Amino acid sequence: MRALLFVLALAAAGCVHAAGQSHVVTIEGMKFVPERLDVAVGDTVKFVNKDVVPHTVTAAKQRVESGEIAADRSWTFRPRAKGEVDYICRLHPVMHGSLVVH
Amino acid sequence: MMLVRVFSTLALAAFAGTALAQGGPSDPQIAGIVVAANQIDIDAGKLAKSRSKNKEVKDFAQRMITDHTAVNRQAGALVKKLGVKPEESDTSKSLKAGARENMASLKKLKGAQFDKAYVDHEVAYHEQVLDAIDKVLIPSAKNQELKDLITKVRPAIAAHLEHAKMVQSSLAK
Repeated sequence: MRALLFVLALAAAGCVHAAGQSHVVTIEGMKFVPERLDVAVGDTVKFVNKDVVPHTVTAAKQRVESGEIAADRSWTFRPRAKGEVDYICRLHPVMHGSLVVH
Repeated sequence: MMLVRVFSTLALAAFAGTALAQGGPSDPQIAGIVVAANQIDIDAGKLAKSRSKNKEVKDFAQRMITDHTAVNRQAGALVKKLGVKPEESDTSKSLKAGARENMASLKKLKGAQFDKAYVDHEVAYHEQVLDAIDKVLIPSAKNQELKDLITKVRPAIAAHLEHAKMVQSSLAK
């Protein structure tokens, strides 16, 4: 019971992710929203492009490459390793975001 | 560079002048300005893509072609839906005249000189378009969907300006 309460308290504090949680990053106004997101290994992160122009999610170091995501399309990423994934839009180098994988 | 500045100042004066003289462009005229402004940058991008040997400049040019084509596709779909026929105005005409002069002067240049002139003009042009969006196009648009589209496109133009400045400073090194 005490252990359960502890887990619940941690979950409430946002420190624990149940594996397989789904997240959404919206690409809008030439920005990734939210720009920084905490996720867990095995979660899914759906990038939804609400802009008029195409975008990519690219992290060369981790070999993450979405290819072009057209307007009103999406791309889903499932992180497999812990660490920070700093990504950019390869087409618009002024756009960047990061996933903190726990 | 000076010449570019003079041209863009003149073109901007034309944007603002038309707006003041007529109490702002009508929606069909705004549609005409949007289509012309995108097409101008697509044409300049095609010239740069074929003429430049610099990867950064070529990538930027391709970006302008793809993005402005996407914007024009959306604008085309919207005017069709609204039943608006894009109309010429003094602003769209002066934009096109400025573009013809820019293309003519770019075509005389090669190599690093071409790259610098193209990118400098892209910086000035996107500054000019942002200014027109804020001062003329958004305030004058009467149809809400047309206003929303221009508002939605604005961040892309701002990102292009930042991208152009990045290329500009890397060329200066």
